[in-house]
Formats: sequence, structure tokens, C-alpha cells
Amino acid sequence: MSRYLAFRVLSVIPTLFGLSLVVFGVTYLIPGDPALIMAGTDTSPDAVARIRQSWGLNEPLYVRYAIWLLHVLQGNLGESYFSRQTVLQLVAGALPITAELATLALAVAVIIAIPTGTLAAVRAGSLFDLGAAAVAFVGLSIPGFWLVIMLIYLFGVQWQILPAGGFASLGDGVLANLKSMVLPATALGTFTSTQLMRYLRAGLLDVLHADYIRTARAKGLSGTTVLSRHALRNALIPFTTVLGVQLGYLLAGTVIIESVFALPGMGRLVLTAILNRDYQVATGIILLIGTAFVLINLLVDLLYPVLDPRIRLGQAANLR
Amino acid sequence: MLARIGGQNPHMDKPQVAARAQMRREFLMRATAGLVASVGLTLLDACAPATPATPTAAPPAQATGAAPAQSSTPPASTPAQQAPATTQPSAGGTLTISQSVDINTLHPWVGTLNVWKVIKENVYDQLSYQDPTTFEVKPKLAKSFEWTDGNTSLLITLAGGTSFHNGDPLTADDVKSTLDGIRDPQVGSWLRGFLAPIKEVQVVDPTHVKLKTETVDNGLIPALTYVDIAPRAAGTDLAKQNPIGSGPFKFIEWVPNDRIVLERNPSYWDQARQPKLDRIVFRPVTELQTRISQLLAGNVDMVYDFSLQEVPRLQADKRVQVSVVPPADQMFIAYLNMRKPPFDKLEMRQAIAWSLDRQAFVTNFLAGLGNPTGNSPFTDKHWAYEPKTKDRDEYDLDKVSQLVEKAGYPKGQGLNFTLLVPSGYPEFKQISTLIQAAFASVGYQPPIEEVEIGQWAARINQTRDFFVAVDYPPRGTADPALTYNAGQLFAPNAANAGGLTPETIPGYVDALHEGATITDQAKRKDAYSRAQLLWVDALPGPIFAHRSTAHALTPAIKGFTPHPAFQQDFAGVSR
Repeated sequence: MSRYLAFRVLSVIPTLFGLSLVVFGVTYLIPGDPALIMAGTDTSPDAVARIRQSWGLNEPLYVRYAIWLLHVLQGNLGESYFSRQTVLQLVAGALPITAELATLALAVAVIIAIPTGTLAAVRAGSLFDLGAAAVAFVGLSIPGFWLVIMLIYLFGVQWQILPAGGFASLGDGVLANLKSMVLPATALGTFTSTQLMRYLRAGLLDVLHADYIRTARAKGLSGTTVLSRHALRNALIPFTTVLGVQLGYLLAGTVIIESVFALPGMGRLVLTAILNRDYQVATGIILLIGTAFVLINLLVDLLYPVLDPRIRLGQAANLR
Repeated sequence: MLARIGGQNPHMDKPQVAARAQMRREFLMRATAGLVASVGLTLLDACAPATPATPTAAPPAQATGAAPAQSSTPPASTPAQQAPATTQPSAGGTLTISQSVDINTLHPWVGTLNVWKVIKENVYDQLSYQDPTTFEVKPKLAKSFEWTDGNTSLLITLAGGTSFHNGDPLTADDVKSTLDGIRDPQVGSWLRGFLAPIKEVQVVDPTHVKLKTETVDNGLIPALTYVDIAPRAAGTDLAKQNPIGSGPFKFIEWVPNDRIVLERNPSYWDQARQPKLDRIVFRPVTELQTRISQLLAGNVDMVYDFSLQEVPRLQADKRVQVSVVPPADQMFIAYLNMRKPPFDKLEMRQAIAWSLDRQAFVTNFLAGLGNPTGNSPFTDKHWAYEPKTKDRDEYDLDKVSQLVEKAGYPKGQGLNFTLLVPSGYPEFKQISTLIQAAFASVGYQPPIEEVEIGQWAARINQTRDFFVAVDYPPRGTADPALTYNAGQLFAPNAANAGGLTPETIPGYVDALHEGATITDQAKRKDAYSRAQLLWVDALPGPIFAHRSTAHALTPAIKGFTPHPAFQQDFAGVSR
């Protein structure tokens, strides 16, 4: 077990190194020049060249990679060519917004998915189930941007009960903050909820057909008890795993949602950085996100034996 | 059956279950029907044509329509340019302005984005300014300009009594350090070309500065409208520090992708330009529809510079007023790469010029808010405009066919070129598509290459890997000397995108020099007329049309006068 844990932890090092190579290489190989974006098209080539030189962009790519990696290992992800703020400063400003958005979107998704998925499974084949399937199908099919525009139009412009865009920080008041997040979180969470709902329905249907459910029913337990204590509890285990995966998709979805709703989060930050060829910011953020994924996966692997006593990592062969 | 175990109380008898289920179903169906009907009606309302604005005592500013009043010397403000002011506005308050992108630097001399020009104009003062309605260049920080020393020095007299936001006095030393900083090649300022005539900056005394030149340069005083005076103590690395100017508003903060906040400067020196607003918040919102929705919802007060195609819709909406700036500063042009075939041949360059249906473009894609008269950098109201350029290149497919054949590509055989457009600039693509269609009708359909803006700029300016690229570079309208001074189209320099050199058009450089350095207005007009005609003869880059700009604001905003070159002053704006 301890050998496995050590191996698993150590395997993160080459993974992160590979990640840094890919992130740096891909970012810097995008055609375009940040100096030209800064200088504008009306500036002389000399001026552009001077900006490139001052930003260290004249060095060969491998030299730039070595310098960057050295700085990263020292905890310095660099600074934006444009705003001149450090990447960590920019991330510190944007991450809470994206975290709030993703959390609220996940909450919206779960609040929609669990009751509807459960009811659809319990009443499989009923009008409700068919309706839920139809709604899920529509939810998966309609373009996200259309839903966003409709939400903005209805709630922001027509009824004027929620802001049509923009971000209100907690400093502006908790209510204002939540109001600015309702539409983006709903837009982001709705799409996810349809996937989660279908997944939960399918999982729950499997469980409801299991022998132990029949046994529980035979013991005289009420339908609610069977559902909540036996069926749903077991069906939620794989559901929770999918939820984790969906969180990743939610984070990816923030790029579009934050741009449309003008939220200054991570998605918009990385998009702006890529469009501006702000290499330091783009590589820094992508590396941070990638590292977070690697570490979360590691944590999940390490937690498996704790969560499920049947799992004994590294000893599978012996058990058999 | 097992599927239903959890859903119903097994102790409930069947009729009860059925009845409750029936009630729930009915409730859900009715509620759903009600919701669907409500949303449907609202959506139908949304899809219906917008209600036309009802005439009121104070009608919102209107666009001037298909034949807008033109620049460059309009005698007075047009209704389109000035917000109505029937009620006395109250001082104070916050103005929230939506802009299309975020700024990319805080450096006043390096940043080139229009969104930054709009902001910094209010933080810094400049020695001169261009009146947005008369287009005249007038003194601002300077009290006067005078050519002395046998027309080899421009003597600037400062108003005096001015100070920066940090309390330090603004003196001739600050003016010198600013001008020297911009002229310093290490700074990389786009303004360096504008200040090229300056050989030396001398401080005469705290309120007098002398700019040494070889001769009079008519572009110099207009160029000073772009020069933001920064404190000498701040040095030249101004990107890493909060801007300290002497303007009517102080810079407070920039939160990337969220906001830029300015606050009223209570001790602003110019009594005639005292700021009325307490704060201005600029919000970068990239999505056009979100920007418009925010305005209609009352979340922002102004949408600064938006797509002209949205103008008719917003003009019909009584919740907003639309301000349209007549065509002046922005022109649609095509960079043609003369370094390689096929555009090394004059006939092919002319074929591009004859291939665009300019009127159709302006009518269909600019909502009629542009000037289809091209071929000159100036609109037909500008004093330097040469009318003989008007009919030189028009839309004629037969002519395109003849020119293509004359160039050695009969029926387009052997032609090979592409049209390079950046993503996110629909008007460039629309022009390119019209050109593509025109050439398709003569036998060759050039592909349109749509690339991301960074790549587009690099291919035009660095690798020169392009054939045709449409652009609308804003040029200084304050004086033709500025228009022709720098940039990548008109000036035959190393930055020129198409490869124009002094030898490409014999007599062209001389005409430009004459126009820039003589003071007699009639002779200047002659010189610039020559330059324009020489241009259309050699046609290094066809000039297609001039474009209006549009802004939308809530009726509560008063005193807004849009600036055609984005040197926007908000001191007189109130709510």
C-alpha cells in the first residue's frame, strides 16, 4: 500500500513536467505577436521590435521555457505583458468569481437533477418521465448562447428583475452579488442538470431492480425508506463521480458564460490572455488548472480505499 | 412495478393515489401551460418590431440617415452629435459606460486602443485639442503656439497654475520629459512618428517650451492633441503605475476584465471644463447583445461605439438615445501586397478598387451610416478633399474583367490570391465577401482566410504573408499632415504594409512634404490634391468608404458630444 502511494505521488512529477511542456509549447506556438497587439498596426517595426526585446520574446523558445520553468519552480508564474500585474494577483482576483459561479451552477444542476432524475426513475414510463426526457433532450440540444440570450432578454431587459450582465462583488452587498450570479449560474447549470438527470435516472433504475431492494421491500420498509436509504444512496455514488467530472466541464463552460455575462472570472481572463497572446498569463493559468486536475485525481485515487473499504490499492492481485 | 415502489405510499389505496396523481398532474399541466403562455407571449413581443419612438418635446438624438452631415469642418454641432438638454441636469452621480473590450495597458503613450483613448483623455491633459464639432485644433494646456526663430521653433506658452492629481505643479519640465519620452525609441510609442519633426525640446522657463524643428510643420500642433502630459518624476515606464495626470478626472483603479474607475478632480484648473460627474466607471463587455441588453435594462448608462447595424433598432427604442458621428476619422481601405504577384501589377490593384459595390456595402451593412465616396483619405466636406478622385474607381464588373485580362489573367486564369480577414470584424469580412463575389463573376473566386486578430496583424506587419487585407485604420483628421505622416498605408516608410517606397510614386513624397511645411492654405490644398491624384493613379491601396460611429445612451445623460477620433471628453457630461 505504502509503495503504491509513493509510486502514485511520485508519478505526479513527470506528469506535471509533461504538462508544463505541453502548456508552454502550445501557448507559444499560437501564431501572433503580443508586441504587435500592444503596439498596434500603426507603429513602426522598430518600436514593435523594442517591445518584443523588452518582454524577452527575442530569445529562442527553449531558453524562454527554461527561464519560465525556473521561475515557476520558485512560485513565480510571471506577470501580464499588458496589465503588468502578476499572474497570481490576476488569479487571486478572478478565481473566487469562477469558483462562485461554478459552485452555484453545480448547485442549480443538482437541485434540478436529483428530484427530476429520481422521480423520472421511480415513475419510469410515466408522463413525467417522458416529459423529463423531452426536457433533457431539448436542454441538451438547444444552443447555449440562445439560452443565454433568452435569459438575459427575459429576466434582464423585459422583466428587469436581474442584471443583464456584469458582476457585483460581495462588497456591493450579498444580495447584489447573488443577483449578478443567478442568470450565469442558471445558464451554466441547466445544461449540466440535463446530463446529470439522465445519468441519475439510469443509475437509479438499475438499483431499483437490484435484489437487495426487493429484499428491503419484502421486509416491509416503506417506499420512501427504500428509495432514500437504499436505492438513492447507492445510486448517488456513481452520480457523485460524474458530478466531479461535470465540475471540470462547468469550469470549461465558464469561458463562454463569463464572456457573455461580462464576469471577470478565470474563463474570461484566460480567453483574453490567449487573444492578446499574453503568454505568461495564459501559460500560468492553464498550468494552474492542469496542476489542480492532476492533484485532484491524485487525491481521489488516494481517497478510494478510505471511501470504499473493498478497494485495496496495489493489492488487487493478492486479493484475487 | 418495482420502479414505482419508492414513489407512492404503499398504505394508500388506489383511488386516493389516482386522485392525488390526477390533481398533481392537473396542477402541473396548468402551471406549465400558464408559464409557457407567459413566456411565449413575451417572446412574441420580443420578436415583434420595436415600438417607434414617440416624438416628445426633447426627442432623442437621431442619426442623420443615409446622407449624414459630414466632417471635417462642420460649422456647428448637429442634432446627431449633441444630446438634448431640455432639463437642467444635476451635478454628481456615476456614469457607467460599456466598452467593447478591456484596455491592455495603462501607458498613455503606448496604448493604441480606442477604448483607452476615451479613458485617458479625461485623466491627462494635452497641449492642444480637436474640437469635436468644428474639428478646429485649439490650445488646451497651452495658452498659445507661435512659430519663431525664422519658423524653426514652435514656442509653446503654458497656461500656468496647473497641477497633477498628486499635487505637483505641471511645468515646462514635464512637457519636455513627456515629449522626449515619446521620442525615445526605447519607449516604443506609436506617437513617435507624429513628433518626428521635433529635433530638440528646450525649456525656456517654467511656462515656456520651445520645440526646435527644421521648418514649419503643420502636423505638429495637431499631433500634440494626442500627447498626454505626464509628470517628469513618473519616468517613462508608465505601464506599471497608476496614471497620474492633470485632467478633470483622477484614475482610481483598473480591475482587468471588470472595470476602470475614474473620480472627479475637484481642483481641476480649467474653470470652463469643470467635471460634473462624481465618478465614471468603464465596463468592458465583449458581447454586443449583452452591451445593448445592459443599456436597455438600465445596468449601464452608455454603450460607447457599437455596430452600426444596431442603430436602426435602437433608434426605434424610446428607452435610449442614439448619437451618430458623421464619417470622418475611419475609412475602409485595402492593403495590397505590392511586393509579389498579382498586386505588383497596377491593373490588379485597380481591379480590386473597381470590384467593390460601395453603395451596397454602406446601405446594407452600415445601415446607410457611411460615406460611399472613397478614393480619398478625406471626406468630401474636408478642405483638402480632391473632388477629381470621386469617379476614379467605382463598381463595374466589366471594368474588373478587362483589368484582370489586361494584367495577364484572362477569365481569372492563373490568378492566385486570398483575402485576409480577422475574426470578430464583420465589416472587413463583408467587404471581402463582396470583393470575392465580384471576382468570382470574372472567373476567379479568391478564398477568404479568416484568422484571429493577432495572427492577422502579424501577417500584415511582420511576415507580410498576405495578398489583400481590409482594414479601417483611424487616421488623425486634425490635419492632412498627420493623416499622411505615419502608419502603414499612406506613408512610404518601413512600416508600410503594402511595400510603398518613396520611389513607388514619383512626386508623391514631395507633395506630402510641401503640404506639411508650407503655410499658405491654397498651396497646401494644391499639394494635397496632387498627392490624392497621384495616389489613385498608382493605387497602392484602394480607399473604399468612410464610416460613421455610433453611441447609445439613456435619456438621462446630458451634455454628451461624441468625438470622431475617440478623444472623448466627459467633463461636460452630467446625469
